[in-house]
Amino acid sequence: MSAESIARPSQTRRPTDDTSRGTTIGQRLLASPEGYLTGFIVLVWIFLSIRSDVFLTERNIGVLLSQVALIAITGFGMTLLMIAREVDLSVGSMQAFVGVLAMQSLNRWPYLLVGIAVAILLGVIVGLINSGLTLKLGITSFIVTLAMMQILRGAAYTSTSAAVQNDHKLSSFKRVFNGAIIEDPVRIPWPVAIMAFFFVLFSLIVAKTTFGRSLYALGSNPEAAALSGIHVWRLKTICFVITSALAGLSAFMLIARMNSGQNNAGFGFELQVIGAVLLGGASLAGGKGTILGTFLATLLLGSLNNGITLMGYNPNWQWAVTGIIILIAVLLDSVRRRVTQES
Amino acid sequence: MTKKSLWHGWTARLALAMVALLALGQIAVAQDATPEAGGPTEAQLAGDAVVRSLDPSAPPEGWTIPAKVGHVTNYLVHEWYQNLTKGEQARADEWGIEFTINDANLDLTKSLAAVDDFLSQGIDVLNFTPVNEEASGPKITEAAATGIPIICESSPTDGCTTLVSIDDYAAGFKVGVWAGDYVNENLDGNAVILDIGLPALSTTVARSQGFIDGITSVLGENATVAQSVDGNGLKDQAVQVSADALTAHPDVNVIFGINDDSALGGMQSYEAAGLDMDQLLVVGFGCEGNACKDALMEGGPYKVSAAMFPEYQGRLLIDAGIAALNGTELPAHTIAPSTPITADNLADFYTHDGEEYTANFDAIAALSIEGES
Amino acid sequence: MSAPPTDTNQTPLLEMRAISKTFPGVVALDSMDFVLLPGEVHALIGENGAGKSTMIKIISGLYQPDSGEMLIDGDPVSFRGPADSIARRIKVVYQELDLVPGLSVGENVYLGAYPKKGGRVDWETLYGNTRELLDGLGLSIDPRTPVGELRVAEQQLVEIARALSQDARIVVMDEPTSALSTEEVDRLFRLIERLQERGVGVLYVTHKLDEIYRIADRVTVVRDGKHVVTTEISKTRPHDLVTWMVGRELTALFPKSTVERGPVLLQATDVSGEGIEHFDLTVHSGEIVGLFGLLGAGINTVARILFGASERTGGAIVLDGSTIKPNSPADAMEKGMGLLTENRKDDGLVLPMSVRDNMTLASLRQFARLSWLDSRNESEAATGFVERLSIRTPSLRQRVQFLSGGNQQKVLMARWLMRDPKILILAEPTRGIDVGSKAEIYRLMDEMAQRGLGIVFMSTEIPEILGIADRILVMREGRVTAEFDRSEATQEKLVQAAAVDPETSEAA
Repeated sequence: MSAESIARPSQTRRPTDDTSRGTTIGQRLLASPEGYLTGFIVLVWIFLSIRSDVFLTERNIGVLLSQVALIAITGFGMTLLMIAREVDLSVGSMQAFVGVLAMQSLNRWPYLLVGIAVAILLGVIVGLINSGLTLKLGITSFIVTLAMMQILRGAAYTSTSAAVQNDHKLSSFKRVFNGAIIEDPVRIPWPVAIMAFFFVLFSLIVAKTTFGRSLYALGSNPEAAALSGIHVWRLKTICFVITSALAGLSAFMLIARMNSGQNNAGFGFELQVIGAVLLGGASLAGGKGTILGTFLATLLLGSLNNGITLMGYNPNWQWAVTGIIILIAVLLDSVRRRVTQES
Repeated sequence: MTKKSLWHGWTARLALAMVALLALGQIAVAQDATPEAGGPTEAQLAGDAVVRSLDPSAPPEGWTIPAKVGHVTNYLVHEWYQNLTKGEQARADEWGIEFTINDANLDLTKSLAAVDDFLSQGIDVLNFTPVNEEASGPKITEAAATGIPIICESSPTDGCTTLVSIDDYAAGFKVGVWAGDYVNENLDGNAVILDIGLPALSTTVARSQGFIDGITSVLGENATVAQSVDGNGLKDQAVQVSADALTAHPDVNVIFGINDDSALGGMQSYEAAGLDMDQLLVVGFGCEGNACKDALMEGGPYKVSAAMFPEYQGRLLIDAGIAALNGTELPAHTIAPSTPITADNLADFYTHDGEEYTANFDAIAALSIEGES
Repeated sequence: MSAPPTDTNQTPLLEMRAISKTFPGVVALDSMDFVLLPGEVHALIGENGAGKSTMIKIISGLYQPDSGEMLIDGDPVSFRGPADSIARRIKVVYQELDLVPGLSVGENVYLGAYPKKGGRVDWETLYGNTRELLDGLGLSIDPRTPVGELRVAEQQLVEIARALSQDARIVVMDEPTSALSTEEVDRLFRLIERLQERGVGVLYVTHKLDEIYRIADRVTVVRDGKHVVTTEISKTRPHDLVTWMVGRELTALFPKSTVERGPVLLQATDVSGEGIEHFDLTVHSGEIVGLFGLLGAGINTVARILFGASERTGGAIVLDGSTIKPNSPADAMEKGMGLLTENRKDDGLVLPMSVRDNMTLASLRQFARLSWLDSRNESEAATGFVERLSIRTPSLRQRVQFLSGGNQQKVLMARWLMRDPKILILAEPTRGIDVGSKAEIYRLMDEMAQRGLGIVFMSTEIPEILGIADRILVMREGRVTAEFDRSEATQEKLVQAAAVDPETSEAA
């Protein structure tokens, strides 16, 4: 009996590469977090540009994007980490810890590169400690980085009882946040350029490399990933280190912005970052999330905060509106999941 | 699969809630304060005068000097408390008192437990900074029942013998008047104000209100508040909100901050926005640290701050305790001195020696405390 | 087999009339008719994706039909959710258990309906009643044991005990025996007979034809969402059932060709690990070595130890001349080994990822230059395997979780075949998949052996081991107790070797 004659299914057809998704605009917007975040952003921007003359000015958009940059840059790392089913709560304290030490280093050795190198190096070290404790001791990263958050905050306070002032007076220093990479035809501030660079870099890494693919597999099903030859701990370590290094870079941009290293900087920063990453489509259960989603989420939250201040609303609304947006997004997400799961 | 994701869903939510609680706990730095209504009696005024004139080298005859004084602080890592307790320690040394600090680190439970610890250690006077004034009331009332004086700092609490703190509104008003005069002389008499406040706390709201009333008392209708924003008392957040506000109001020429970080953060955003620093006046509050003093001396737009002299307040705290222990009647609010501090008078109050600034207590003590400028 | 209730004039417990249910792009049920009578065991069979699951979900109230009518006791009903279904005393025992692992057996059995006394839970009654129920099932489980500590098979029986406690009139069982041992299956069947005596209608969904003949009165075959036939089981031959299910004549389930045995590829000597002692195995090129054992005999542990996924404490494994490091799947893969695990959803598939991405997961480097993935290359390779393995999927981008069990298993086989391995270990590759897909998996195994692969085929089901393996090792309590050549192996010998302690049998 030849093998060919046996039980060939009747309906096999050549598989296609297409995705037959919804066709109406509404369906497309609902189809992914990126879709409905874009929808939200368009609505918010239309509303704000009608209500405020200054919203759509080059200066305000520059301010808005520069502010978004700090959260987004750390958020890109956090996205990788959360795809891998881990989280880092210490990125907020990093803003204080790294900021204080980087400023002290700059005061001692007044070269811009020294400050940047110190900031990123500290990030790498903290990332290695976070990953080491999480992976070697098998404690969840939530707890490890919660402890790290307290330790770094304490270290920031211990290393200085006050803010570390800019004593080096490097002229290039303030430009890290306030300068522009180009002025014509549009002004692109440095933080925006740095954010754009990492956006492109990590979008490609996540979508187009073996690293990105392995990351999603590892987050969705660690056991299956390990049995497919993926080095789980190596990948996770890389994610921890990238997140902390980016948080360090963001801390450096923050001290350039404040012109001092504040030991009380970055309170609630980790919440803003994790909130944005979740809003962008990631999940604490891992395996989900995109760089674009994280960027759009930070942009949306940043636009709302900017708009609330521009229009002179009670600033306390910033908290409430952020919460409401996250709730709406979660709601839309569950609707979307119900729709896709039935198909 | 379903079970798993459900479980993850719950941990996720729980985790977020925990993070949120933690963050909120750390952000809520201080607490409300409501200034006492009704003036002090003559006896209390006399007692107040006694506190201010105590001298360790010549203690009043027959007075008992306490052996042990303990201070339950709220948030020792802050520069304010660092300098305040430094002042207390120095004064305690002068009197020969054993002085101990127990910090609550913003934790109410810890704060109340620290009170019990001190009581069982047999302290003679308790200095107390509440984490939350209402929640601390019962414990302090209970502690007061043991008969020891309780000298509160920063916010009034039930059971306190007296509260030692500045009059936030009056201090704001004075610095507001100073700013009004400056605007008249240097900025064409028109003030467009960005107020970087902290609306969650009554003391900081009083500071903003005092400032606005003060500057308005000089400039009248020529003083307008372009916007009040919430900087949460933190420099990074102050920079953030003021950057937004300044794009909407580039005509701002006076920035007021409820503390030095808020004011300095606003100044940073103003500079980053590329606006003319010569046309700006920045007004801070507290001047407890070097950042403010350095900024004043730099000669930039940061011209004035409502100085709160934490070192001197520390001295008052110790002296008030000694007076109370010896039966002196004290007013509900022992008002600590505050004055607009500028590049011109900084040297009167602080001696600059390398990195350090040392407070000149005689000059501070000589400041009028009744609110007249 | 009990007497079938042939009196079709009695009011059906459950009746479906022309029920249709469509999902975007798929007609899951197409004008389906179905009748369940009181006191009957009614088997429902069909290939995966034929519409059985949709039917169950409509009966349980999880899905609402697009058209058609459903009647309970002759009354038309429309369920808005599972609560409505439960209110009509319908109990569905799912293949994927919905027990709460942290709660005790008793708490699970009475979940949501704790017996109460004076407003407080009456633990005595709860555990007492559970004890009785479990005794009835012949289970010696302590009702206070947390469910999470039980084996899957035991959990399944607890789930069934729960059905009993709820006094259901219609019980739907979705592949209840997939994780049960022979003995446990016997218990289950006795239980079903008791349900039957009480007039309960049992809808029994299964892939195992032999079970149907043991327990069912009538059988309904579905294919492509349509009702094919309903008939009394005594009047049909298994061959007819298979033909109805796959829609054509199925000529041979086990396409075993004779392959010249090549050189030794895999040599495992004195391997030990958790529960495994002195395990020896030799696999030649072109050879399919069957590893048979009852549940708990350790065959799946052996699979994981060989691959490095579970700890190896001793012994040596040599693959084609090179020694494999212990506890390193990466090394085993590097040297040419592949492992298709027993639980494809737990440690095989990445459910939310696409068919293509699941296939290429173990060979990403092959499709990458400087770790940059060439997705066109990937798609081409995946398309090739979809065709070669006849994987039914609407597109390469389809999430693998929406594929049927058989097709999911083939995706995993493709994952390993892409690496062009020398040795492939298949642990229970046909569990829970339909007969048509099984035949295809056997065909593939045969084809791979012809190409010179060495295959280790682990199974707890005798017919497939006998049908496809060249050589059969039998395991019992972590040790190999017997070895048979294909020509000499019989069902009796295997059962004997797997179930009886060799020392006592030798003594006897």
